[in-house]
Amino acid sequence: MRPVDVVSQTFQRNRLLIAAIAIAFFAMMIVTALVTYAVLLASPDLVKGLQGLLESAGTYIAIPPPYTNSLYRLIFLNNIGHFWNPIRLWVWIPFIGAFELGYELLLNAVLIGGVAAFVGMTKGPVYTAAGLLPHGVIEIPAFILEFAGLARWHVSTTRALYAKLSGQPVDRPLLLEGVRDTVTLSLLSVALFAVAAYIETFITPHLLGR
Amino acid sequence: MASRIDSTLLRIEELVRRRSSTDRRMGYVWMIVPILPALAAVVIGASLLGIVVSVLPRISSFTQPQNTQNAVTPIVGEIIALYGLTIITFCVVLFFGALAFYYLIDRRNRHFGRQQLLFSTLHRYLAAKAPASENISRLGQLSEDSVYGERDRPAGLWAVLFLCVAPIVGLLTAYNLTQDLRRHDELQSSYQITLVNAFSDAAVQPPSFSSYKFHKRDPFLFIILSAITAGFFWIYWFYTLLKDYNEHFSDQSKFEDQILNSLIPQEATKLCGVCGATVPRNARFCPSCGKAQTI
Repeated sequence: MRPVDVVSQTFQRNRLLIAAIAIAFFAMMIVTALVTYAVLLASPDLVKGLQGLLESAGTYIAIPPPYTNSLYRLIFLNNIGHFWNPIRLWVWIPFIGAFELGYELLLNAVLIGGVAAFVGMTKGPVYTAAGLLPHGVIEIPAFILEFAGLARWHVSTTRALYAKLSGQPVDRPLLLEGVRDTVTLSLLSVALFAVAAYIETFITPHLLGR
Repeated sequence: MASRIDSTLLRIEELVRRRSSTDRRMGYVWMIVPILPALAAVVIGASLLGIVVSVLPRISSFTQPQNTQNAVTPIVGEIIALYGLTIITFCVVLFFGALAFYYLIDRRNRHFGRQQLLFSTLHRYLAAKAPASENISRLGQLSEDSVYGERDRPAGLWAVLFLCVAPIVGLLTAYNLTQDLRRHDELQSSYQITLVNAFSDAAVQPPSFSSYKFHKRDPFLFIILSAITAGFFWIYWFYTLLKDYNEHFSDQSKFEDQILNSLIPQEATKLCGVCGATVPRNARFCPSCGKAQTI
């Protein structure tokens, strides 16, 4: 079977997962952006407070300068942490890991929504769009695909474990299909993360005039 | 023999009529149960963000003793107010959640219970007409399967458990309700096919059933999606619990009407003296207006 067909069939089988994760992510992001905007609008003092907080954070978090391979590695390896970082590998534990993923989805959506609203208010919509969109249009789909792959993993393994525990036969072809889908979606997400990290390191700083 | 068949027929009619009290449709206003916590989370989260960020400019004044009390007092008030709001919201969510789960499980129990009686009565009726039929024996087996596989779930106990450990019991109840309807649909489908053949064996005009709608939801997928979307998918899952059972009750009504039409010949009907609707021969009440009929 051609790789294109494999990918197409994987998308067909997992369309509910992808759609549900995408809708949840964007809904949380939009709600957070609107709420942050409303809160900041209601109290301009908060904007100053947050600006101060962010500036002080820059002094103790060592982020490599733009246009460097170090920054590229930092962004890329951080984004694919679920595949190699031992601390984050526990998201693969069947069923239990799904709850950690829920927390991460919420955290990412809230952070992106909040930051977009805050930057939009302080530096204007053009700056926000230039800073977030070029890599975001690739990074967010990659993020959704990664989560869909992990969701597929949890559905397949939980179902198999439940069957095993309750003395029923394990549907092996279904389990293998789930594992194959997880691998396909994960590989796709890693490829997209690589591209997104490249844009964020070498193109976005240029657009922001750094 | 004829009188026994007649009394069984009356019992079937009565069981069908009883559906108005057992197959209760739940309105979509119950969607408040999954939506309310989401709204509360947004409001409480925004308030918390406001409090936390508003504390930042005051922190510098903490170092000067005379300013500490002035800086801290409003924050404490805000935190207490937010804490009160959280507790109230939590109680409201728990109360409505428990109530919703009680109704969801209770209507499932009532519907399954009535249907088990209907299945066994139909089997008795057809077995009296054609005792040697294999299809009718199969109908009896399906009826027993339904009694064995669709036992009551204690609605009150689940509601109380929900009050104690809401998220886990909520997921577990939703899992059970989804799985139960899925199995019930499978049983119902086999029953319909067997019933058509059994009617032919008993020399009764077989009913023509409309296509049956299956609710093939995967509860494992729904649990994982609810977890991965931080509870967001739960809103949709709860919606399906309302919709699927409501749809099933509608399908079931049509199914039962078709059975009654086959069992009670058209000439054995009369007109309701009050509203003029067509009423089955031995009906004690009009299915249209509900007024008592003279038999």
